[in-house]
Amino acid sequence: MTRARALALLAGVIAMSPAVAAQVAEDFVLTALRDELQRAMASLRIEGQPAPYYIAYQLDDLSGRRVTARLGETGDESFGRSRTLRVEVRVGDYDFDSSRFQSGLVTESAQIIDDDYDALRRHAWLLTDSAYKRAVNVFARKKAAFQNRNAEEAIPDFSKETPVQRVLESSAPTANWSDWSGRVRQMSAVFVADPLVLSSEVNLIEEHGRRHFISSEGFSIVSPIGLSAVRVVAETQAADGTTVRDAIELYEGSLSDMPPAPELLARTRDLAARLAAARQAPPGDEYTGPVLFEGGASAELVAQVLVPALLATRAVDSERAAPVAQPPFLARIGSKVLAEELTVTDTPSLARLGQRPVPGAYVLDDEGVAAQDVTLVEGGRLMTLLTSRVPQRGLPRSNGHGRGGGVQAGVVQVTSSAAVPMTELKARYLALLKEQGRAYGYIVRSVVPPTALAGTGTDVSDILSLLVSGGAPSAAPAGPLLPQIIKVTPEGTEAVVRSMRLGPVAPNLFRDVIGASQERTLHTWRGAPGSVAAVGSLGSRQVPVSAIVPALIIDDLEIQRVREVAQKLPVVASPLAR
Amino acid sequence: MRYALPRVSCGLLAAIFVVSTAIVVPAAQPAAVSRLGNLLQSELRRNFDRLAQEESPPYFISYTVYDTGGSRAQASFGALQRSDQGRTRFGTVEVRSGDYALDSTRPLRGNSASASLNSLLNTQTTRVPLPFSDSEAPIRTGFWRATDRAWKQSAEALTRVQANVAATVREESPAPDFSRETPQSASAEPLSAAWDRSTWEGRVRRISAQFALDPLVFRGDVTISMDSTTRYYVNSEGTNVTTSELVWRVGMQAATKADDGMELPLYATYFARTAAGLPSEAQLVREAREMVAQLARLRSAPLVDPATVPAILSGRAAGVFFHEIFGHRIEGHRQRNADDAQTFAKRLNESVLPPFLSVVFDPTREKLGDVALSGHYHFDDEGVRARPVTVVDKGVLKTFLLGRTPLAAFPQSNGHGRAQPGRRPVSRQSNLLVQSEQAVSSERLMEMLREEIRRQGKPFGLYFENIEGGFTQTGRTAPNAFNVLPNLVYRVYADGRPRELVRGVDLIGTPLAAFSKIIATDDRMEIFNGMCGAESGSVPVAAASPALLVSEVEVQKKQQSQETLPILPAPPSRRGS
Repeated sequence: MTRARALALLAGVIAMSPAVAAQVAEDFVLTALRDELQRAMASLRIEGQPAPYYIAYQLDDLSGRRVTARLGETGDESFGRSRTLRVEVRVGDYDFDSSRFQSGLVTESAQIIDDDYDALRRHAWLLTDSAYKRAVNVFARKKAAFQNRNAEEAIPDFSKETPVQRVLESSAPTANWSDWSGRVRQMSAVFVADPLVLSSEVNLIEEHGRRHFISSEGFSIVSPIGLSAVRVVAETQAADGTTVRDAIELYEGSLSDMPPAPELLARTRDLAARLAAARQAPPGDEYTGPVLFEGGASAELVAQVLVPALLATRAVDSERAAPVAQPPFLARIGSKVLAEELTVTDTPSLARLGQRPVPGAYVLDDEGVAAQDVTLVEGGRLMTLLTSRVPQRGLPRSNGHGRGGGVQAGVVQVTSSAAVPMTELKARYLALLKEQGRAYGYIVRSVVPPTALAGTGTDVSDILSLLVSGGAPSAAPAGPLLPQIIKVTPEGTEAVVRSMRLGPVAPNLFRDVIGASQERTLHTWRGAPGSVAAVGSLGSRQVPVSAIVPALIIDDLEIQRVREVAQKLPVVASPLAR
Repeated sequence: MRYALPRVSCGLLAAIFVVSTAIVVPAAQPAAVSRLGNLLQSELRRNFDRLAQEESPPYFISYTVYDTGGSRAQASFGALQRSDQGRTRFGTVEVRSGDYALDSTRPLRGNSASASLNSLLNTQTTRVPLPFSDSEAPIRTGFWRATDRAWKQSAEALTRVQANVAATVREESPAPDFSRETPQSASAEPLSAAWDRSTWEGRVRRISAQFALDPLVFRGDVTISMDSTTRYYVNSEGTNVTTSELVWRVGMQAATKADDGMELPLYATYFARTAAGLPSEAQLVREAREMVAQLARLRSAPLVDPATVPAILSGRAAGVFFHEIFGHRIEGHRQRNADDAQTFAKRLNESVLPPFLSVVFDPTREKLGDVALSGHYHFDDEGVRARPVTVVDKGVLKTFLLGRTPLAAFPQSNGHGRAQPGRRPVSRQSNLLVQSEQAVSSERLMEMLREEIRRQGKPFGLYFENIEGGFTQTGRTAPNAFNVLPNLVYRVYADGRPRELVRGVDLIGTPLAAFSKIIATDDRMEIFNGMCGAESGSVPVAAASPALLVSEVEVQKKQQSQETLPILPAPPSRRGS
């Protein structure tokens, strides 16, 4: 409907300084929050009702800057600061408490910028009071709902973890913001040269700040939060009216980690060139067979399809006595889930990959638990899942992956025991096509979720199409879009095609990996809070997640045409064409 | 003197006015005003002329650019909560296919998917993101793309309209869909003012700190804001109008709870066109302290049982009352809408108010006395020149508020087509002025209330000093009633006992009955300035009225929150106070 979705606030732990302070310095924030926390734990109580057994305060102090440019001119530019105090109150006990019911967790929040002990404590007092009253209410309803249920196997609501007290070093924001603003304008000017680009936009966001976290269990943490993003998106129409869109999205812990200006400009020019090529290219043909995913594309595929299956999410309970959805891999721990040569780990400790910082790395998760490196799949066999403080069946403890208001990965690494150099992998793919007697195959260079690339849009047609279809997707669930896809013959002749997507995908598809490269690509994205209403902790927000993945050949994949109702081309010539 | 009343949350479609947080860039230079207007006119003409050769050509196109800046500081209990400055610039495009008599915007009759599709198209506009500079490439490209889409949608909508007209019963009052208006041209310098961030931050901190003096006040916020809007409007009929507006506002809110859990809020707002027009800090500090004292009195005030008694509405309360109960019912587009109850549609030239009352909507009026009126403008959002409109003359209904959607009896706009930036204009209120020819002094009016209490043999009457807002139903399917939410109400006794503050009173009734019971007014105009939300978003309005003596009002008990006061007392202060 309106313009590009604003990139939301993001958080991620980036400082990796070895000189981490051993104990928490007593700043006024911690003092004010601790004073109120102690008072509430000691005396907050409604007659005849349970007292709180757990209270936590989280204060996120974030500075944000963003700029948008189109066709060489800055449109929106903003600077802002927010400081949000969130309060979580639980009544009951670790086994059965007021969390995970209906809407999830009982939290309250307020904004407060000033360094003011009195005001901060006053807000903490009012929010705690309100959260406690709600927690008591939710707990009563939850108990009522459960009193006649025959729990076959009770899983606790909240895991017990060792309290952590630490101050992690903060990083400084980028000093040369005006340079960046100019860079973004320059990138956006690339599209002036192409009158057939209907809309284009470059966004830049930098956010950074600090988080204070204290809880009644004795956690007391100050940690840096922040993320920077560059997004370029452009749209054109093929001669048959089909919309052709492509985008670049880059995430880093801070702006200074972004590629240098000439590289960003070059990548924007590549995007413009790809768009021009795709516009003139024919639509591809539907296909089922082996597909080669180059490094970036395979990492995107892992991010969209495999990583969600590795999270031990747990749906909330409700008054309706309906069985809740289980994570698909939960029952398969110990079984073979991927191709035998594949190993998958999550290593939040990996702060750098060669020279490059890894944005998904962190020291403590959003629940204050120390990040652990976890081997998830070994030799194709599923060992465990990533966990937060919300336990799942057979997974009673957190392994330090309570992130973004749910459970989330940090740095997912995929390796293959049968990896070969990229040139050899490609040769093998062509040989495979020949062996199977195929006229062609596909090389995929990017994979984006079905909902991504939504127009930089200026109109209501998106809502209209929803309205007409009754708000529900009419066809079968569609797979990810493939904005960069190459049709290749067994002889190695390559041709750009457009309007293709994968068929429906499931994590099982990684069983059919039949080749991997030694070279691996680092890809970072924003992990959305657990989608299965798996609300587990304070501050539901998007966090950076990284994956390091080789190029992959995956057998037996279905590639489909994107079917859309093509709009006629504009009647009036573009003003850029004059 | 406190004139303002907080939001008038007109109970139609509540809309939130959002000022994005962006940096304030100095407003465009004067020379650029006509430059942008002319650039828009040129791109509009280029599109209009080319589309004229198509099968279903547009007969009308308009482009609007809104360049809005906002600065605000907000504090709570002495500490800063928000401090933002922002600027955005975007355009909207309107394309109509068909002709003035029957066009693509006509609401479809009957309930169908097409009807909801067309009505959605009629409330949405195509939004064009724009740069802050007047650079040709992004501005022309943005409008070109949006025009193409809007035209395709209007052509489709017209096809649905034509099929619908052919298939349904003839309408009661077939008025044209769009009025013909004389093209206008006007230019204005973009208004801007310096925003001294630390000054305003300090001020909101110090004023809101007063609310911390009472530990039973659990909400105590102060916001000071400055908003500028420069609007460039051009259309295919030749109108090219630039207007610019700068407004300053102060909003204060504080709330407590009674022991029974009833939430008791108080609001105060101020409106001015310059920083100097706002009350001084000392005045606002006094106001905040008075609010704290008033909340303490409210907390211990008795509840009122449902009753029907005589009452006085203060000028401010009467202004809100007229805005809600009367103003929304004489908005012209409601008279066309088959789903609307159309309380007044068939009452033209009939008596709808007592003969001593007239109601004028006058957007050309900048001030009343020394007080700025927030419903003031020179041109409405359809580029039509503002003018005073006497809607009720000596009790008799003469006309309606009209944008460019005409009524059978009124083919022209009277300059009341208004919208929040980015929305489609419909007829909306401006500055509502209630004029009385039966005015007595305030003291005499109070005396008359006591006489009325005695005459009716009632135990007491009511004095409504302030109304925080209200809502009203104008639809056909729900009871055509109103409910206003007074937050300062006194019981008045006939026997000379002093008036007594009460709480928990809602004022309810049906519109025509309520107006027939007005007996007299006093001779002092009071003003409220506020934001009104309805179909076309949130627009600034004012209402001014003398106090009204009403022979009978019906009150009911306010809905009440179940949550009690905080369990623990307020934490000890480090600062001391």
